[in-house]
Amino acid sequence: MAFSSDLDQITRAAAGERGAVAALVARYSPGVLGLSQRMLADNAEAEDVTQETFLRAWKALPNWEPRANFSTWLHRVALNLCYDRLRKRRETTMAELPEQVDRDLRPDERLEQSQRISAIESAISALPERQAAALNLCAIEGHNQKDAAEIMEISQEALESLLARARRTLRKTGLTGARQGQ
Amino acid sequence: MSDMNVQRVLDLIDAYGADMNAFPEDERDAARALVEGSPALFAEALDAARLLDAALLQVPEITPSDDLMARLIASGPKPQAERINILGRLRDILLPQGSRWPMAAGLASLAIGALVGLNLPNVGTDGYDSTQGDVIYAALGLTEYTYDDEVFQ
Repeated sequence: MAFSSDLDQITRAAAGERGAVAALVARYSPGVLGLSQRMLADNAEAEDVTQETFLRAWKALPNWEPRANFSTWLHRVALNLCYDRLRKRRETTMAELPEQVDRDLRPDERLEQSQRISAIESAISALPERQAAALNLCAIEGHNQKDAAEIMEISQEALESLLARARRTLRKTGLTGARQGQ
Repeated sequence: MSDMNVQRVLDLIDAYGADMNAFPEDERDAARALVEGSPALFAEALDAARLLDAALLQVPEITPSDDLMARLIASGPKPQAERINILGRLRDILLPQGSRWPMAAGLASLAIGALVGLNLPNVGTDGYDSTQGDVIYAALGLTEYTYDDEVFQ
């Protein structure tokens, strides 16, 4: 998830070059928004977290440490903001996620696919927050173990344990059976 | 990795799923060799993992809306020239005639104040004469001269 041109773009973005700012936003906002949305299961809150994350990034750019990984830093800020919001929630509510279905399917197939996706997303967001974060980062966002562990500020062994527990929980929910036509 | 064994491969499948490309890089090749050498040992674990992998693959990618992207870009750092422009515009609003007249007015005020001050008699507001030195020394407690002394002179 790291890009060799990050430092160059960070330097140019810090100087206010609009193209570099736009490039950083285009490259990293989908990941940050995706992580936030799956952690919070709330579109508006996920957008707020994404905006707050980028605001913090813009403030940090002038003093950016060249060895730091921008992607890791950005996702860590977003994840911590998500944790803060989840802690503030007294009750976890599953907000409606945007309907994202394949338009080429027949209406009944579309409905089935939509329900299946909704079931998967609900099952992920019902996981304990650290398990959900590990699964989102590795299995969905595609971060490697090292990056995901750094984002979560845990060891790779701890990350592996969280992933294994998350996957075991999801298997128990019958998610894999549902896909087979249940 | 030399200590790769059946249990470790099962643990890796448990954590990372059936796609061995998702395994940690330093263990990937050894795990793959073990699986290819004894596929029956791992078939059940791999099948279960594949079902979950397939379910997770259906989770759609989330794309930021154009509006959100525009807001993120707009909140980004501004070029130096633009920042100076913003300050310039603010100055134009506050000082529409430019900064020359307010500076001249300030200097004129200072000059008038100094002129008036130098020409005033050295008399307190109570109407009694007092030297500046007396008052300062008294205020500092350096003499026995007090305000009462001056009032009841």
